[in-house]
Amino acid sequence: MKVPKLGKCRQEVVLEPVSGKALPVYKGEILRISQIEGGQCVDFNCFNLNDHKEYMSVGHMRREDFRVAPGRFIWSNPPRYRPMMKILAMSPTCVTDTLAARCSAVLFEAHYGIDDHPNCQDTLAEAIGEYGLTPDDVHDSLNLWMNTEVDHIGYYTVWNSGKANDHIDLLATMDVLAVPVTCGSGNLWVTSNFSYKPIKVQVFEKTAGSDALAEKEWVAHASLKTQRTPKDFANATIRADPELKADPNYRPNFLNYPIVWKDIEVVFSSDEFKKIWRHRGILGDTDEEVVRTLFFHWYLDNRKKHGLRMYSPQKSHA
Amino acid sequence: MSNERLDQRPMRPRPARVIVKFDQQQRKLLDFLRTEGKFGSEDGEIIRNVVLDYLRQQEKRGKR
Repeated sequence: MKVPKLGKCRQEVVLEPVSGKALPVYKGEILRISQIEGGQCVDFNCFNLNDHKEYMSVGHMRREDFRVAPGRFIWSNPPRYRPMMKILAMSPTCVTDTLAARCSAVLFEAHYGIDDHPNCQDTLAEAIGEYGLTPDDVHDSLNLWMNTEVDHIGYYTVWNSGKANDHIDLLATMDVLAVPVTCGSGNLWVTSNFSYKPIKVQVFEKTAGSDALAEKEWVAHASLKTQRTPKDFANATIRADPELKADPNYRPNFLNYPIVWKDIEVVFSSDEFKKIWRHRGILGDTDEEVVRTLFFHWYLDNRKKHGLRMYSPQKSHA
Repeated sequence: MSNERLDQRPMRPRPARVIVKFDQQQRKLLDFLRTEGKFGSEDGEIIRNVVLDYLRQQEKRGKR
């Protein structure tokens, strides 16, 4: 992947342990997050700067991989599901994690009996408070320098492999509010090797190259009809009243509801059917199930496109 | 008639008819394939040809 040159550094912040900062990063700009001493886990949140209801969806990043890597995107939550940032570069000792949920005060009270322990939920909430957002706006973190492993039970964390001067570069493909924080669990857990360290955050102005790349990625990955924004919503009003009450006049408009089935007769010769019959009990219990399963296996193998990150609007179907 | 004699009788080749239910979204895939033109024009014909093509692909993979 060709990485554009960095522009002038317009903002540099050192995040001392258990602190964080919400930083606007405009389309085409690059956010660099660096280790200073190494071994510090960083939790990261990301909002659309112009619409805070659009924010990073770690779950949809996890659909692509347990670990995001250079070339991958920070995706926003459906129905928007648009690229917010692209990972341009990353030190090999930066291990990313999409499995572990952010630490919160509750965990430390429950595990240690400490009810005022720093934690990512509260640090993120304090950082975004500058922009009028609330603790409820904190969302699942993308975890940087968080060495998780997976076994048959779940995930567990191992020694942080981050080294001094390690960094990750994120290109904004839309205007975002980026929120890196130093993880609060690192002094009691192995997440940051049982000791807090500071991290450095820099925002680099856009260059012709970074701006062109941001626009190219936006056009290539944010042009689907189904990437819906509030202008497409039946109800785009954001509730102010926290109490939920049913609207007796509300009628949901489920997509393609009800399902309309059609019986299709498929005729096979005796020899052909013998071959199909062999799959009974493996690809279905009835002839119908087997035929349908074989059809969709073929479709998945031969016609399915390669997912959103490979999407190109120039390619027509099939 | 003994079982042995029954087994020795040649099997009469008979076409098999399978009724497959497809919903409206699944039928869109049939429309895509109909547009391609390689698999036929009728829904049943398209499903049949695709299934047979898949079996051929599987046979090829098995031979490798």
